[in-house]
Amino acid sequence: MKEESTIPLNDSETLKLNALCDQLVEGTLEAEAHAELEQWLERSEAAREHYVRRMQLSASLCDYASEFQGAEEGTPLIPSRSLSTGWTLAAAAALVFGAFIAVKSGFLAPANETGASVARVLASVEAEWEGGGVEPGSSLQADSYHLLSGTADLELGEGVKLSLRGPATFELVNENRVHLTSGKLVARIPEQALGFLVTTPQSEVVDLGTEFGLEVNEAGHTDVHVIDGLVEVYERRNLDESVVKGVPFAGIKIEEGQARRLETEEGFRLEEITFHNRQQILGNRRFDNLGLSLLRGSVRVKDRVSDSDLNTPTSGQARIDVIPEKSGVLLEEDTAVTIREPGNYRYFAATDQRIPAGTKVDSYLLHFRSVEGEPIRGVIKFDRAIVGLICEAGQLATTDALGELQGVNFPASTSGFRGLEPHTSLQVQNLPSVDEWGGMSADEVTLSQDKTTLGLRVNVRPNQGVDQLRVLILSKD
Amino acid sequence: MNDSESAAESSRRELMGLLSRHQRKIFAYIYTLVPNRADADDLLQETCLTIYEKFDTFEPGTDFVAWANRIAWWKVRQSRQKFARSKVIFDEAVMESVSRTAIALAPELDQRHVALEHCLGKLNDRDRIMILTRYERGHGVAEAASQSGRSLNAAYKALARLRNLLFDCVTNRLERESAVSS
Repeated sequence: MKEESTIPLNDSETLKLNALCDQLVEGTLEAEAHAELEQWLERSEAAREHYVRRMQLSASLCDYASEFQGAEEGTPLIPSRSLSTGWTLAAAAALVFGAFIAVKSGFLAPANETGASVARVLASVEAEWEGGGVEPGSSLQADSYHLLSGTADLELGEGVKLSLRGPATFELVNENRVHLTSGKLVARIPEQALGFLVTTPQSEVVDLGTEFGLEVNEAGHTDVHVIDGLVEVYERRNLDESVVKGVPFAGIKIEEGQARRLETEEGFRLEEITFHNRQQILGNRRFDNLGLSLLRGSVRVKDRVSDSDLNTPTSGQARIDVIPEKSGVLLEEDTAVTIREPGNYRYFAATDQRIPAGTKVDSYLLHFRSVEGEPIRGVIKFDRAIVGLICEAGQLATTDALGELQGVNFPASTSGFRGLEPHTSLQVQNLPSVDEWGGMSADEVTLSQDKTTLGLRVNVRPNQGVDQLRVLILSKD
Repeated sequence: MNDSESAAESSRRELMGLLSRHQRKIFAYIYTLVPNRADADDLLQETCLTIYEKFDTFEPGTDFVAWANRIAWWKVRQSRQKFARSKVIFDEAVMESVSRTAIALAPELDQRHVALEHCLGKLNDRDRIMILTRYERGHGVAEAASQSGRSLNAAYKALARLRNLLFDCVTNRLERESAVSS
């Protein structure tokens, strides 16, 4: 039993407690200060009273701010169906209707208070974003985004993965809510994230599932395709009425392999439509499921490759291009690779390690670009095990058939080295000092114990060869 | 419309009335335990849903806010796991003590809310707009900073100053009122 203090706070304690409360409200309270505040609240009734009054001040300010915001924007206090964003509805928070509807629809759509990151870009293929600046590895704050073209994979809290196909307009409301205004989206929701909501503007609300696709078009309907699991769809007005009439919320269940079109023009209608799988929804993306589940650092997935892409080792940008190559290739003969086993590698000579004939693989080519002197780093996680890494010039050349890159001439070994360095024992001996190396350290490749994750640290010297690495992973089928 | 329907309807109406009057207090109670607006809003919504579902167990004439806050308390407890990572939540025993204090102070907190409106009116426009901008839904210090043309750092300081000012103003006003009435 802790000793309870009833001694009033002195001035300096009050100041200190005010500061801690403010930091708590602003989300800037460090762990240590949090523990201090907690102990204080545990021990002292005077501290608790002060804390409660101080928090009530902020709660009241939230309330007055809603009125202020409502007055400022001329927002009616009663939500109407024409209000499509949670933003203008802030004032409705005070009303019970708002509260009920928001439960299922994300109608009020509270944004993250701190503007903290709610999603990360895992990969993108030919993605053009309005305003630019969104790259694989970028963190996205709660905000609206417009993907003009291409596709992008995002990861949100609890492992939710969203694939979007542009043109698409969406809002990341918080890490549990996304609002899709228009465009195409496929959401994959793991068990621990159940309750994730995707809302669409036509008053329909799509509640969780395990994997589903949405197409929201300008004509005012939402197509829901359930790829895996079960999805519940709600209509807002329906919810609204159910509150008034006191009947339970009735969602429409859509099962795996089924699709429905929801229309609200002239009343809510539900129509059975042809089911589309992930690839059909995301359009003619050449590589339906990229098989990449995590990218860190400057990594970009590149769908199309031209001669100049490969022959210009440096274009002023430091990044790793991931170029998906052929998938589902049955190796007809044993294939020589540079690295097969987990570990950390800094030497990349040809070895006699082989992937046995009969293995079915998917191939990816990694192409490194960097400004001089700055090594590029990245971490890439694949959905399936890596069976071999090829980063020696000769082995790269013999496996180029996996590339399916017609019309692209890969640099020959005579016009500068292709692969990773060092690859000869002479280079190893000379590593730390020789001018030729420009003072750079060795390239470094790490293959995780479970063989799914690749850590990379690669130096690129402009105009001196092409740094590439081919990754072969086990094919899905 | 038959009798049971109209009884249900009048019960609905009663609940709407109670909630529109008291929802703010339930929100303040939740916010004290989970001081993050978005999280508190979510919890308020869940609480309202349960209030709606369980309203037939509420005894008319008893303290609605106290009853609603008990439901809110369970919602907060249920979601502890979810909020554990966001650092805003306290140890359960501490939360229980804070909850008791908050319930005990409820009448005073209600007076403080009313007094705050008066105190906000005493701020100059620039300060009032800044602090209300900070507390708008989805906003934070960054929005208040850009709205008032301050740097982020200056905005943190200005907000701390304004909160202190408002807090003291509210406290003084309550003291004066109690002096007048006694």
